[in-house]
Amino acid sequence: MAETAPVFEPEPYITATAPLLGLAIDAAWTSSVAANLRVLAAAAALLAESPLPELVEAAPRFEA
Amino acid sequence: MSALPTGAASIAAAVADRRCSARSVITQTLERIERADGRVNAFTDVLATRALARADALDAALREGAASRPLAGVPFAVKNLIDIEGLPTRAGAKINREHPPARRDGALVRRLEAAGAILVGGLNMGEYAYDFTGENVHDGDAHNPHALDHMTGGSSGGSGAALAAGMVPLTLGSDTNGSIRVPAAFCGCFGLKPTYGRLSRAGSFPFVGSLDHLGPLARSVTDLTLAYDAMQGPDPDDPVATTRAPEPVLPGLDCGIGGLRIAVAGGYFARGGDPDAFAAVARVAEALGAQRTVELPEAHRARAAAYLITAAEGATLHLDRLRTRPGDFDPAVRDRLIAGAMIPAPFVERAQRFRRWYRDAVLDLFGSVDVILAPATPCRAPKGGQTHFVLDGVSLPVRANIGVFTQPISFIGLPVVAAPVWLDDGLPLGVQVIAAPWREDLALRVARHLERTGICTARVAELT
Repeated sequence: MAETAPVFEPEPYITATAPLLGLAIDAAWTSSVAANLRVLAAAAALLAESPLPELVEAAPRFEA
Repeated sequence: MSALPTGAASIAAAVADRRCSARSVITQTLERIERADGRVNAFTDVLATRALARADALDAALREGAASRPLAGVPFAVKNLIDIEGLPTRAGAKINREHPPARRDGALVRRLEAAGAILVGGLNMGEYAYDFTGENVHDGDAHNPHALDHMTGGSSGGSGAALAAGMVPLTLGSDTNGSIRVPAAFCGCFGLKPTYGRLSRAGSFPFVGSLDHLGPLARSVTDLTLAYDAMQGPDPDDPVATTRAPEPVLPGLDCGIGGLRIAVAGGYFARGGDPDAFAAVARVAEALGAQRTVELPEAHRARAAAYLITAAEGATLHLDRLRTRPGDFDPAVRDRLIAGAMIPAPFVERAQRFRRWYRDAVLDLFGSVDVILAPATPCRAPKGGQTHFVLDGVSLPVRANIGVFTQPISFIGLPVVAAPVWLDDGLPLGVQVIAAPWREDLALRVARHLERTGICTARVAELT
């Protein structure tokens, strides 16, 4: 049986990541940043669920 | 003197024929802005001295026999992320007001003025274009002229509001995820988001380089097309600008829809909105005889990928400001950007890889259809300050969800005309008329047909 994936906890992630990025996060902003991170994590999870051929190249400079 | 014309094409014809002077048009425009903008808050800068001087120069040139130009004497205004010589390019931000004044106008301003148009001002917008509401904590919110207590939509809120209030016949906006199409829908005017790379972005403040577009908004498709044609052409100052020669659309604008294969976007684009949003699409589809439905594959993931790329690229752009001036941002924008800075790189890379796959899949669809119809927004304009709305029985944050139907389209750079539909006496809705890359001509032709047949029209608000 597969192990259950650990639950993402935004608040400690923010605390750990902010110094790496050189950001000072006011305590009053944390819940709002965390809410935004949850939305972004959900978007990333949605993308992770989709099968994507390994050789598809990224489009960092997009051309229509 | 009889009332002056108010549409771009009619103004240009009247000025060219010397039936009215450019000065009289600009004077009337400035008076209208003076009367209406206190309630609408569309403008952040009004350029009366500059505009009157340009008008006088144009009138003098015409008196001396100079050839007329396609936008002679047409007043226009631009979202304030586009450079205006002599002003800091504020991009809706407090921080940017400290920037040095722009040394010259943005590329599209120069092209419109080369065609005879006259810039009259800079327009309100959501901070750094990270916005779908038209609200701005620094400059005050833009108000929807059709119902002043409702949102204009954003981030080109002033661009939609200035048109709906009848202050100018032509505006420019930017569209990264829907920021031309949303205010066009909420304010009941036409907006064109061209193919990615079609119109130069040189001399504008960026948001998400791989998603940013500039484009026009107007109250008629002819005016929209006049402006679009005048702004086309390569520009080495924009690294993603096309090298294609201009492809003028106006000569074939009234060719009608004969032979065009038009379909309605189903699946993702047929759920998650108010019934009114889908009724607007159905009305347009019926008028066009579009009976086929197509499904853009994985559109919900396209939206998610656009969301991730936007947050990550936007955060990268603003990281230094987030480090040094976090208190000077709109808090809602700041907190989204901070979260964006923290996205792990593999998530963004996967979004970019998905983007390539999705583009190829959608382009396959255009082998069997020419134009696809979809709602522009999931609802009519929410009330100003409204934070949540209920869509399909689910309560959702307004800011993050107004763009659910626009994001999967701009994500791969497709050209779109947002066309206004009035289902009743209430606020308007918008329908996206979507074409394959570089086929703005088809989207504009269909929009023109809808306008000519009375299905899609723009209205000037009474502002009583």
